[in-house]
Amino acid sequence: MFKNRSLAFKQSFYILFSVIVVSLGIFSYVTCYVWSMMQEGIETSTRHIGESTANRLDQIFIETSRLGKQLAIQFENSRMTDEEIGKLLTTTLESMQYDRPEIYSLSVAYAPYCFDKNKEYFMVYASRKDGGIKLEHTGGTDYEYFYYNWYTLPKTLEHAVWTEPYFDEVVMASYAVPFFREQNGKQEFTGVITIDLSLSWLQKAVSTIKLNNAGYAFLISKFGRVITHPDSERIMNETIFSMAEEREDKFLRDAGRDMIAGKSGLVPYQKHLISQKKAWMFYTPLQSNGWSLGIIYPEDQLYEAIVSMEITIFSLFLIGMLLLLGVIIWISLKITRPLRILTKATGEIGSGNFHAAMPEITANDEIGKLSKAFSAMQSALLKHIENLKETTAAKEKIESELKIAKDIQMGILPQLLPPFPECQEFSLFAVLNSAKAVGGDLYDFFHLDEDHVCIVIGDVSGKGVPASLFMAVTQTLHRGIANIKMNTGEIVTKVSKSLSQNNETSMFVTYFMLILNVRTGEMQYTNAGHNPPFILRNGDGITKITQRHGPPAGVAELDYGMDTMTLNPGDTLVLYTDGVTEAMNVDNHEFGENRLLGILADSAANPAPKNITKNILFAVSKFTAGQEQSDDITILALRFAPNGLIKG
Amino acid sequence: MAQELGIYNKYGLDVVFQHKPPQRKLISVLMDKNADFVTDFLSSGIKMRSSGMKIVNIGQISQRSALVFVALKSSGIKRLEDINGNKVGIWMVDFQEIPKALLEKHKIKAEIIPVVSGIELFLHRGIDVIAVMWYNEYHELLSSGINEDEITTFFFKDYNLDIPEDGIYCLQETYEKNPEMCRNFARASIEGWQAAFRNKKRALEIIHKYCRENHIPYNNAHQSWMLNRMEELIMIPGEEHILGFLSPKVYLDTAKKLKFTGVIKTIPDYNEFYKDVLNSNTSPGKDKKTGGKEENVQK
Repeated sequence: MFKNRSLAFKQSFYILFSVIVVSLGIFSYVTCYVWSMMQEGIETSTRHIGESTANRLDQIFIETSRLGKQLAIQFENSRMTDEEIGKLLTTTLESMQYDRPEIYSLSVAYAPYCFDKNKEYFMVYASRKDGGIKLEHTGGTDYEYFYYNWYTLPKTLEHAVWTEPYFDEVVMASYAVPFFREQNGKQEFTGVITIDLSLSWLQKAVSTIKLNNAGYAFLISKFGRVITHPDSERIMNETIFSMAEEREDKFLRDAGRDMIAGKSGLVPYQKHLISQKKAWMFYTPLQSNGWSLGIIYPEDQLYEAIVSMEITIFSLFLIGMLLLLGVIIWISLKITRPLRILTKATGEIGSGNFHAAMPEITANDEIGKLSKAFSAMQSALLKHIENLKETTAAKEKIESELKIAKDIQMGILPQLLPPFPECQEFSLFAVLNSAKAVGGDLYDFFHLDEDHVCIVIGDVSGKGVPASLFMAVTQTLHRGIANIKMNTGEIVTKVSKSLSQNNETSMFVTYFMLILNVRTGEMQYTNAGHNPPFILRNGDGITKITQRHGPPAGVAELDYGMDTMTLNPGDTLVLYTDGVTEAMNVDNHEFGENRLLGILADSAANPAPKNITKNILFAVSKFTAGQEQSDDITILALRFAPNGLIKG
Repeated sequence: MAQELGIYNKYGLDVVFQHKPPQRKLISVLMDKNADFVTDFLSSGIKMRSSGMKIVNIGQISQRSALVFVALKSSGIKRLEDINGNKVGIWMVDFQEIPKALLEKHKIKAEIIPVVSGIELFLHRGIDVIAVMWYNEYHELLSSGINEDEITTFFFKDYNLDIPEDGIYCLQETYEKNPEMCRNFARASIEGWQAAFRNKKRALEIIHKYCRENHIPYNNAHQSWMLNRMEELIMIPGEEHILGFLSPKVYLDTAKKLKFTGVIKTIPDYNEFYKDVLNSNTSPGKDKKTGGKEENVQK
């Protein structure tokens, strides 16, 4: 990812990245923790406000219901006359004038024929009117009160009940209490007492609830009808469920169901009435009548403190990160400065300046050690280079000497090719390829007299300088010993004896010598452990000279014999050392005699010595392709042409 | 809608709406000559005519029954038979015989609790079953926190009691004296409904205004529900051409059911009961009817 970036950059990046990740983790945790703490705190305080308000509101409902029940007991225990009933209702209502002015009216409604056996309807209604109390008798075919909720509810349910609020100039709610009388040993339903409560005070009481000057409260009835709300349009018109339907807010509907089920809780609320922002709603029931108080407060204002704290923390975090970034970059640059100098110095060394100055680093840390190691490496390198120079000089000297030795060795071999331009009877071509600078192979040819030519090929054991010296000795010996009066056996015997004397290194040479009469083609030869030569007969196949006359020369002081044979005009004699037949290819296979024979057969059409020599060298070179030459290769080819008719 | 858009005026009518007190029967308002026109249920109309009151139907607005028995699933009522032995709330209105007839037809013995109006007794679980209007009180149940999946419904139309509901009535005397006015009133009213379904937003605004003036609770969710359901009851898909028309077959079917259930003893003659003013070929009259009154109930 940052392959091409500097160490300082990588270090800064990874440290800063790690710090940011860790810090954000801590920051998130702290934020969550604080949020939950705050929320808990807010929930607790909201719950407290909500519950205390609910309790306060409950007081009036509880007092009202207590009054209703007291009246019911009175009606159950005594059969009052019409007048007594009127008086009771009037005095009760009057007594409430100051303590509970919210109680607007009282009534008692009897079940059919229960007040008077002859009266189906009997209902007395006392209400406040113009500062006094108005008493009315009502009920009849135009007002069949038996079917009204305030009557049927307590009758059917057989217990007191708060009716759903209704609108009668102001919003009202009635507390309806059934009363019973014992008849025939059974409690029979006799009638209903109602206390009608004006709810206008509720709006005021609920609207006083303020939360951070941003929240508002509302009250709903047992079945969700909105009784108080800051938006007066909603009062009595909406239920919490119709509001939820209008907004398509399932959560509000669920919360509403919880509210009317008498539960309390804290839930997210889609929109605050005024700010239209996300809000929370806390709800708690009124114990007396199953109504529910909801408190809405906008989230943002409520969590203002947290948000402000978060902004501060985050700002500090940012500043801290910037400072940290500066420090990290400074440290990184300081730490990597010697490294950069070191890099520059090693770069210089790499480009060839081995004497480039290394930085002086006194610290003993990793970089100090690295610098010292580099210095040591530089010194070792310089020393090594010095040694290398000396070695190279010595090697060059040896090579130069070897080159001279090679020149001398080559100087020993006959250089004139073709060798005898004035001689028409035969043609000859020879080649010697050393495996090393100097080699142990040898060939030679020289006239013994006008008609006789002595030809030699040999291969000294071993290679290199010792072999070349032994070869030079051999070459010098046979040149000094050979003369026309001796045959090849005597010459080889003498050469071998000279070589074997004082031969402490036990070196030897395979050796083949022949003396050819260039007039007649007769030849005598001695083979001292050398590869058998071949004669390419003029149009009559190939003859192998298999005769051997002893071990290689120099092995022991032995006598060698000789043989004779005759070359016919046009015959070609091919001499070679084992460098040809034992040449190895990559698969460790030898070139072998058979391949050599094949080359000779292929050369029958043009049996000139130079051509044959060239063909053999080419074939060996092709065979050993890719392999280093392991042994000296010497080939000498001679073609006999006594009448000078055949040119080679 | 017809009033607000000036449709009544277009037909040369000056209409004043009155709202009847809940305890007064609608047609008695007509008989007392407190109003020229009232809207009432077809069953109530037939019942009144059969009892000898000279009233005529000049337009059958609703073509379907919206009556439905509802019960809470939690009360264990899943089938109609389950109502047996439970308390059934039925409003003390003219059409109360129809729910009773449904129970009798299926031999269900239940304790009938008369209710003046509303669903409060049901909400307090004072009764187990209540007959309500699909377009109105059913939605009030939902608006009181009861979920649809908690309610079992028994639609009367599914029990061979698909009796059309609101129609326009006037005294036979009024019709005979001024058929032109009757026809104009019926036509204008129908046009008003059509306009309301075409522009529901405007209709809701007008309803809101009337509710506010008469201290009737209004909320958009409920009134939208009402308007949409009324459209289903009035504008029957594929039968829009019979809008406002009371077919002899529907009339006879309804009357027979009422006779069978004992609500009426004799079936009034169709032609005497229904005056097809909508399809009579007369152009809107120019004679301005002043002081005309209609009794109407805003559901």
